Amino acid sequence: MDLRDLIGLVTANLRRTRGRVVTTALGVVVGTASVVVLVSLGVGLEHQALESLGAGVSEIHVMSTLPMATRPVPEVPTPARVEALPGVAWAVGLEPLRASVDAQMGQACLPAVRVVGVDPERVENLGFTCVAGDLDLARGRAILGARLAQRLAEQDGDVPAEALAGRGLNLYVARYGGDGSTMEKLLRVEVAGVLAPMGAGYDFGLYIAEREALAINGWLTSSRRDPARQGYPEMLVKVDDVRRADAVERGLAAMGLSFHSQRGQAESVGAYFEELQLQLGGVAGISLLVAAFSIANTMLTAIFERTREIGLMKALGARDRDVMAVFLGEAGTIGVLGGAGGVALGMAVNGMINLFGGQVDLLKQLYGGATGLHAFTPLWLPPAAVAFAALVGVLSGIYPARRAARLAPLAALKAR
Amino acid sequence: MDALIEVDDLHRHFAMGDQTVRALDGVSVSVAAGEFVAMMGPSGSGKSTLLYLVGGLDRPTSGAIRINGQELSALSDEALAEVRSREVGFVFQSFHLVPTMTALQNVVFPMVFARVPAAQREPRARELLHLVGLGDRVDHRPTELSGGQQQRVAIARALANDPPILLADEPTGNLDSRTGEEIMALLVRLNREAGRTILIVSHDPSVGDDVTRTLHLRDGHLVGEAA
Repeated sequence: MDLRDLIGLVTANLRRTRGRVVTTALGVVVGTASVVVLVSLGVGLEHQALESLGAGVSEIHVMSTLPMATRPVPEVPTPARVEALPGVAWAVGLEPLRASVDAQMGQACLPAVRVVGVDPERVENLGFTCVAGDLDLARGRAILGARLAQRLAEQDGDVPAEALAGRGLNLYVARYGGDGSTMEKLLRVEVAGVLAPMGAGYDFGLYIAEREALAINGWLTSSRRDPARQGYPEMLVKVDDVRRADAVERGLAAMGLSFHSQRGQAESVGAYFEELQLQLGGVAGISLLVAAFSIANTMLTAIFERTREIGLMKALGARDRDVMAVFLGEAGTIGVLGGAGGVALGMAVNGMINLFGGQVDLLKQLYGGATGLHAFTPLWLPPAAVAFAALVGVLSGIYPARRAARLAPLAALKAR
Repeated sequence: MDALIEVDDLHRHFAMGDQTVRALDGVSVSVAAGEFVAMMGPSGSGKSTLLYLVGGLDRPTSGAIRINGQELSALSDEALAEVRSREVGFVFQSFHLVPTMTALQNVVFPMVFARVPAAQREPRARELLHLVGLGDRVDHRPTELSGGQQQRVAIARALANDPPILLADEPTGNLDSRTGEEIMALLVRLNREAGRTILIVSHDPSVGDDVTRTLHLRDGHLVGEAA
C-alpha cells in the first residue's frame, strides 16, 4: 500500500464516521486553542515586560572613552566608528558638563542638574519625543527631561510641565579654583522642548548643544577638547536587535571601551517568561491530553465496530503494518484537523483579547502596565501547534492501531 | 501431476473452557494444479477450518501445509499476508464486500495490498467484473446488487491478484438454488477455462456433480474421497 492508497483509505474511513470524527476533533480544537492562547499571552506579557524596561534594553551606555585620547587619531572610538560595527543602529556621543550646575526658573531652583551636550544633528537618534516645543538645539536652547521639567513646574507655581516650553532658564555653572576660590558662570537658555517620559536615565537630564557644552567644559578645565580627535566621555549605543547586543558588546570591548547595559536584566526577564510560557503551555497541554484519550477511545470504538473489515483486509492480503498505518493515519488526521481548527480558534481568541484586553481594568492592575492584556502569536506557534496536535493524534492512535494490526485474521473475519 | 497444495498430518485444536476441540485431527491431503475439489461433511467436521488453514488465514496446531512447495507454518505473519495476497483468493458465504465501495472499488481493494501499479488496477477490475457477467454494474454499491451479483463481485475480487488457488467457503449458502447453480457454473468455468485450482466447502450434495474430486470430513478426520 503506497501513500496515495493510504490517504484515500483514511479519507474514506473518516468520511464514513464524519460526526464522530468532528466531535473527537473538537476536543483537539479546544486543547490546541488553549495552547495557542496561553502561549501567546505569555509572549505578550514578555513583550510588555521588555517594553517597560524602556529603550534601555537595546541601549549600551559606553563609559569614558577619554583615556583613549592617547591613541592614534584613526583608532579613536568616535560614534561614526562605533556605528560601523554590525548590529549597531546608531551611536551618539554625550558631552556632560563636568561641574555642578544649578537650574533656576522663576521661583524654581534645582541643584545638581545633569546637563549633557548633544550633537544637534543626532538628537533625534536618541528617540526623544516632545510633549511640548521641539527638538531644535540651536545655540541658547535646551531640552528638558520629563521629571526635571515636572519638578521645575511644581516649584514654579505648580504650572503644567508643558507650559515650560519657550520659557527662559538660568544655569549656574560653578568652577572651583585650586586655591579654594569659586567662579560662577551663568548660561541663559530658552526651553526648546519638554520630553515625554522615557526612562530614568533620560528623565532627569537637561540637553544643550554639544558645542556649548564643549565651550563650558573648556572653561572648567582650561583646555579645549576636540571630540572627533579625542572621543567623548560617554556614548550611547543603540543595537538594532536585542539578540545582537552580545555581538555589539564584543565589538565595543575589542575597541577597548567599557560599557554597561540593561541587557542582563532583559535576559533574566526573558528567562522568566520562557519558563512562564512553558508552564502556560503545560497547563494547556493537559486539555490536549484529555483530547488524546478521546482520540484513543474513538479509535478503539472504531476497531470494535470494524473488526470484520480488518479481518477482510487481512484476508485480502493486508499486512499488519498496512492495518496499523490506516488506523494511525486516521488518528493523526483527527489530530491535524483538530490542530488546524484549534489554531484558527486560538488566533480568533487572541484577536478578541487584543481588541478588548486593553480595557480590562483588573488585568491592568494585575500587570501594572498601561496597555492591559496583550496576546502576541509568534510565527512559529501556529505550525508548531498543528504539528504537536498531529503528534498527539498519532501517539494516541498507537495503542488502538497495534490492537487492530494484531487481530487474528480469521477470528476478526468471523466476529459478530 | 505435481501437488499444488499438500497437507500433511494437520491438526487444529481449540481450547473451549476446560475442553480441547479437535477441529482437525490428523488430516493429510494433496491437491494438484487445476483440480476442483469439494470438501463436504456435517457442521463441525472441520472442512472450513481446513480451507482457512490452506489459505493462511489461520495457523495449525501441528502438521504441515505446503503451497507451491512453500511451507506455511514456517512463514512470518508478513510472509503469510503475502501468500494471502498472491497465492489464494477467498470467496465467503456472506460475500464480505465493503458496503461503502462500488463493485469496481471492491475488486480493486486487494490490488492495493498487492501493490499493483495504480494505472493497471481499474482496467483489470473492469475486465474481471466483465468476466463474471457484471460489466454493466461496475459503479453499483453492494446494497444495489442482488445476492448472486454480490457473490459475483466477490469472485471477481478473489481473482484480482490472479492467484493460482481459489478458496470458496459455502459460496452458494446464502443464495437461492437457481442463483447458486449460476455461481457454481461460473466457478466450473473458471476451473475448466482458466485452469484455476479451486477448493470449495459445501453442504450441498449436488456440488459433487461439478467438481473433479470430493473429500468427506467428519469430526476432524478425512473419512472418504470420491473422484
